[in-house]
Amino acid sequence: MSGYLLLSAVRGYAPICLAGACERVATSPYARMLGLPVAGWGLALYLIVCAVALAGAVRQQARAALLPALFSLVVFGAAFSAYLVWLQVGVLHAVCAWCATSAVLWVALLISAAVLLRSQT
Amino acid sequence: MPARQRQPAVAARRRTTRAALIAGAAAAAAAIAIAVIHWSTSSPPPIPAVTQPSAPTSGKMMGSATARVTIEVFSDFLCSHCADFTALVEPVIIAEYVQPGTVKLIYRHFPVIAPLSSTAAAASECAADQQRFWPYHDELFARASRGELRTDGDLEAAARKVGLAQTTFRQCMRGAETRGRVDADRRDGERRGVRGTPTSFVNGDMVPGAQPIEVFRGAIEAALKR
Repeated sequence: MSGYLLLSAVRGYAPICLAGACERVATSPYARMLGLPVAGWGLALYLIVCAVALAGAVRQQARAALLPALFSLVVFGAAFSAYLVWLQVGVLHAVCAWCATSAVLWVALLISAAVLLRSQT
Repeated sequence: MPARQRQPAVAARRRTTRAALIAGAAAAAAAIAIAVIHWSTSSPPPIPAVTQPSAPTSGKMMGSATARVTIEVFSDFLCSHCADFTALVEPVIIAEYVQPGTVKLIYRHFPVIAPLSSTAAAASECAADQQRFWPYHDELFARASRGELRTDGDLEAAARKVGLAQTTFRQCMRGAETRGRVDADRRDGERRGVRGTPTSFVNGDMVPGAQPIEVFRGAIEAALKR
């Protein structure tokens, strides 16, 4: 999903929108950060979270060290995702279905990480 | 396992949890800081509400009819990339090439963003009928950048702002002829391979997207050399 949004941004065209106003969101000034599409940053964060989670699953002895990293990455992703939702609803008055789906995913990841952390205590 | 032997493991898990919570709090603070910076640096600059072109205009064309280079811009008044192009790149093209008579700039409709895009395009044709296309074009993009282009009422407000005769404007909006002109532009764009906005053609060569001025300078210079 992030990969598709990144590809659309690089090609310079708005993504196909199944619901909502993806074009308006994807073509707004807020769709880029440090010159790169926000979707690209999101994709990178998803990949890092995936790598850390996989490393923890494979290497049991490294879990204690990786859990704080995983939790902080997911908190960062969820918090920034909340900011992006505020931008869409409060500033652009346009919600992108792709972005809303990503926000739901980050909430699910945050809940999963919190449950994992709770199981440690 | 005896309680004494469980204690180091429990302590280790508590340390891990504490470290995770501290890291999480730091990550949340970092996310908020980055969000604040992103918000403050991304807000678009204000676009002048009306710019008075100092090059000759005729309908949706700006510049000399005999200019060697023609730039057609397929655009949508609700497209924010198009608004950026209008605010940042178009004025430079106008100053450096249109005013000296090297380029003529032609606006072409390609409404894709929302249903209001087609209505706005038709409204701009009504403005063109009153020889006020370019001031109305600037006013619509300025309103869109401020989030003030959402209803038919906003189109009428823009018409009042640039001094269009209101009765004539409303009669024009009720007719179908301007929509026909908009559809003709769009069909032409589709035939020529336009898939999004803005898409420009410099003497027929496609320049997709809101490219920086350097790209247009290169395309114009290349067209002049041919």
